[in-house]
Amino acid sequence: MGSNDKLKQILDKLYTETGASFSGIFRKDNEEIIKTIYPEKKKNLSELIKLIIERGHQTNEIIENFGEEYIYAEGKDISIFVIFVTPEISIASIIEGDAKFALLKLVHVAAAKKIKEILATPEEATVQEVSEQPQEEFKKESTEEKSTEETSFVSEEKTEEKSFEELIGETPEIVSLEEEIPELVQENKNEITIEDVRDKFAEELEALEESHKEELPEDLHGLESILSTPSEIEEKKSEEKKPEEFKKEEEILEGEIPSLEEILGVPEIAEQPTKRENIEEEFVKETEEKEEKESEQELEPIFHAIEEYEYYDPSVLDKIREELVVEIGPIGNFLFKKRLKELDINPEKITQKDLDNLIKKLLTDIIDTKRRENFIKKTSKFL
Amino acid sequence: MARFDEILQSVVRNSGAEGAVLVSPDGLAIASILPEGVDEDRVAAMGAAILSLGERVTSELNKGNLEQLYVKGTKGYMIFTGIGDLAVLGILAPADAKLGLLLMEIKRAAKQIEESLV
Repeated sequence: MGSNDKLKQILDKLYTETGASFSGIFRKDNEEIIKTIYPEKKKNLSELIKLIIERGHQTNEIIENFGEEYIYAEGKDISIFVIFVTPEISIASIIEGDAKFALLKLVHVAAAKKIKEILATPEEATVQEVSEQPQEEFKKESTEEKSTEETSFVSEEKTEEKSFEELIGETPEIVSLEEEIPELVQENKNEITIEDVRDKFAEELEALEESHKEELPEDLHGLESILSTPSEIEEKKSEEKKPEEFKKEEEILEGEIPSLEEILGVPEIAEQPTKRENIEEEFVKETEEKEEKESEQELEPIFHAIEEYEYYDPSVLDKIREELVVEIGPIGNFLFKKRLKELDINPEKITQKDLDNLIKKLLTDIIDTKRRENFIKKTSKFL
Repeated sequence: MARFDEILQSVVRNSGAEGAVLVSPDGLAIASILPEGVDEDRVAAMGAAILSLGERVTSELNKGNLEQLYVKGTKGYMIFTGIGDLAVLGILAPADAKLGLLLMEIKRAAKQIEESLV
């Protein structure tokens, strides 16, 4: 969509929302886009509006750096609103009947903002370029643009297809069994069993086993060490570290169940289980400590998140609203409520993030640079 | 003339305005109280011209007279009020002026001026 179309869209929206009988976007030298229910009066009205815009700019000659923002004129049954988007571009509307100033200002300010955004985009065609081109040429260019867009899209598709074909070409061929074992196929055209394949590749399998002999331990103990988890390995290692005497005692315990007299009569044997218990307890303690540390680390971000949610006093919102009203006037009350609703801020639970987002949003409603700076200064203590 | 000066002084004093000027329909200053550095003739001419242009728009659409027109800038307001077909009252106000109070005082002053001119 070209910038001209976007401007038309903005004007259409403005025209509808204000209920205007005349709306236009004007450049300094030439009229830009007009919408009106009075086509026969379009030229006269357009000339008058352009003169009003010129007078508005002349206020700078009366008061230096007056910085004209808008003009509002009202009669009994008519209102005129002109907003200066830039020194080069203005928007004007004529509204018949009872018009609300606040609404007119709001809608025009919003339209001005959108136009500024369009102008700020360097890739888009500027208003100046659009206005200088006759309609026909612009149409030609737009079709050319469309065609270039289409060709570029097509070329992308083609490259994708090409790469896909390449991929297909690079995939290795699937070797059929017939090609691999032709003799078997010839002998047993109908049946090829697993045993046949195994016999065929038996030599290869043996070679494979020999090469991996060193890696694959024969005994069960070695295999267990490979299959078991690290914690289990540690347990086994700790068991292996036990003194031989203790191991002997274990054997004794495992071999025969001693009588009560024997247990009471041999105090040394009775002490062994406690030593064993101590080692086990230590190991259990170590693992528990490890688990605690891990859980703490997992919970850390949650604790940090909880710290962030410290709520502000609801009165902070009033302070920000007041500062906004000082900068942009009574309309600030309306805009403040609107932004609050948009951001879904709960006045009872105002977080720092809420305030940051709110202030950022409100800054977009202040067109004037100096007023925006003032607002930032005054609300910076909340950021 | 003194009467008009009193009315203009009253508006400036009561509304917090910075200056006031009473202009004839052809753009000449009748009376003024303006801050230093502000050209009385320029304010008068601009006021008459811009209000006249606005009235041409309303007459193009057969919507009667324009009552008031104001230009808002970063430095403040310039408010031009038509007093019938007799004169234009121009007020210069700072950006932080209370607009409601200002408009009320302007209305009062315009009424007083109209009574004096008739």
